[in-house]
Amino acid sequence: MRQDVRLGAESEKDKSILDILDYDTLRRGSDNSMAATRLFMEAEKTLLKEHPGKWVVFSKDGQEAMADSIEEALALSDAKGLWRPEVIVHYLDPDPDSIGW
Amino acid sequence: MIRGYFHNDRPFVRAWVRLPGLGLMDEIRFLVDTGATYTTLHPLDGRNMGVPFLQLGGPVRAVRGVGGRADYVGQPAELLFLDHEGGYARLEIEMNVARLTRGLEGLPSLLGRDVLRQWRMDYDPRQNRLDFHT
Repeated sequence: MRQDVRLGAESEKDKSILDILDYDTLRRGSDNSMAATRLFMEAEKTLLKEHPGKWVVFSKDGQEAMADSIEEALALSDAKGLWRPEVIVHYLDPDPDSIGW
Repeated sequence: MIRGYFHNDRPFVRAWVRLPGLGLMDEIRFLVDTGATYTTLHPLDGRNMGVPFLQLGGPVRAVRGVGGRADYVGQPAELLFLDHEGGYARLEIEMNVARLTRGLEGLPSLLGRDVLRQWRMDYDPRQNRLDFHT
């Protein structure tokens, strides 16, 4: 439902996304994120075959790292200093029929 | 026009999401789900954003879905969808934020009918095309 919610005043709560990051930065983040997604989609079958049940961190330059849990995956992403929108954190689900993304 | 994409035959679209009540913002990949009443942030993306699940307050909605029952907390959210012509679609909604629940960890966040009903969707997997007309 569309709502005109405005929280607080003169605070971060009153800002919109475009007040926080400019359009070009958002566009660049989205484009890099899509680039990482496309690379990941190409590599997914192989990764799934080699590392079923693992979490993968995948960046737009094709770097990948495996983790046993989402916490570990996010920590790896942080350790690499990666900007989250530009990174894919994905569960390599061994069940092809499960509702995953 | 907002462009989505298909991943493993599933329709996705990206949006920047801000949760002003929690001071958080990130880009989220949403599974387009015409079966979902509400747009929903699932734990993978919630953790990515830094949602403080233990302190998460607000009205609780129990939702029964394909995977069973789960609890969600309503949070005001701003969604910004970028198009490829320099424009965007911006919405403010009450978004469901999933509490940490076993079995939800790997689920994608969902773009539900609260958003989809405002647009026209061209869903054409044969042509690998998923477009939203705002």
